[in-house]
Amino acid sequence: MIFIKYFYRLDEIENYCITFVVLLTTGGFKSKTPLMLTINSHPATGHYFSRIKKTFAVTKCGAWVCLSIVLVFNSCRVSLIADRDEVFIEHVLETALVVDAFYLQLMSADTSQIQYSTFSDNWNNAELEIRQLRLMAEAHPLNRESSEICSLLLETFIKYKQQHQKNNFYPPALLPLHRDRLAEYFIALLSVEKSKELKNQKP
Amino acid sequence: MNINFEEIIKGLTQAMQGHLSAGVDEVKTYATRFTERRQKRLTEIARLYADKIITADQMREELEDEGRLLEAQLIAIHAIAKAAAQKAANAAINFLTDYFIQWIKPF
Repeated sequence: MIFIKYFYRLDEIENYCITFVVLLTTGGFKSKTPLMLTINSHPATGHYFSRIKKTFAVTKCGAWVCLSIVLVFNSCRVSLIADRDEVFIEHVLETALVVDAFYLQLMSADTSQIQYSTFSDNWNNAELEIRQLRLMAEAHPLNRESSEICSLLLETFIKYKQQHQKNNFYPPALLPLHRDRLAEYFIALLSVEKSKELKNQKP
Repeated sequence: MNINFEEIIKGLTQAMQGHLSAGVDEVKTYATRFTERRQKRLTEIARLYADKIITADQMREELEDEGRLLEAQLIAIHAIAKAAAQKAANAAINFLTDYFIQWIKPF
């Protein structure tokens, strides 16, 4: 009785499965033979037993099949892609803010002041943020798409950094274009993350 | 045991269809938006080149960057489609589980 009382606290589905196991192991289901199963009720579990105090005309095989299907499907979940990660989404937004603020700073600077040395710290900070983002994406299993997008973002960002370093100048006409392009990578990452299922979410 | 296969197939189709069509809508919306923004950027690149603000080499570099970005966006579409397929498959599994729970319920 204590054993049953313990199970009574479990989810509905587990309750039903346990009922089935009890019936199957005690011979509650006889092949093609209807059987009256009577179990004395207990003050604490009377309601539980009243459910199974009835006539069963189910074959033993059928009951096993039904129980197996419920057990298999209840623990089964298709995983093609990682679950949505709210921490990752927050980090994407933070990185996007760092990169955008940096480009805004570049755009508002005088043409004569757009030298690499003036902005080297900003370049390095933003690059670090993007690298961290890629690490976070790669750390998750089934997250190949997000880590590939992060790699392409990093590749593009490093290219702009190296061009600035090499020329010691950033053409002002290209700044808004590059800013928009980098923002597109963050939009792609957020769109992917938004489309994913939340962990333990029932579709 | 009487299992109504017609009812199961109908239920499975309905459960999956909702998620798949939502996925298609999501991909359509995303693709439409990024195409519009790309069009604006390409027009801007063409204008900068026509006005001789950027050189032919710079234009080529810009187009290469657009190509890299398109790769990222196609990867994103692939991931969105995958997520929709996963949701549909899980909806089908949940439907089957719920269906068979109804069988056990009387006990």
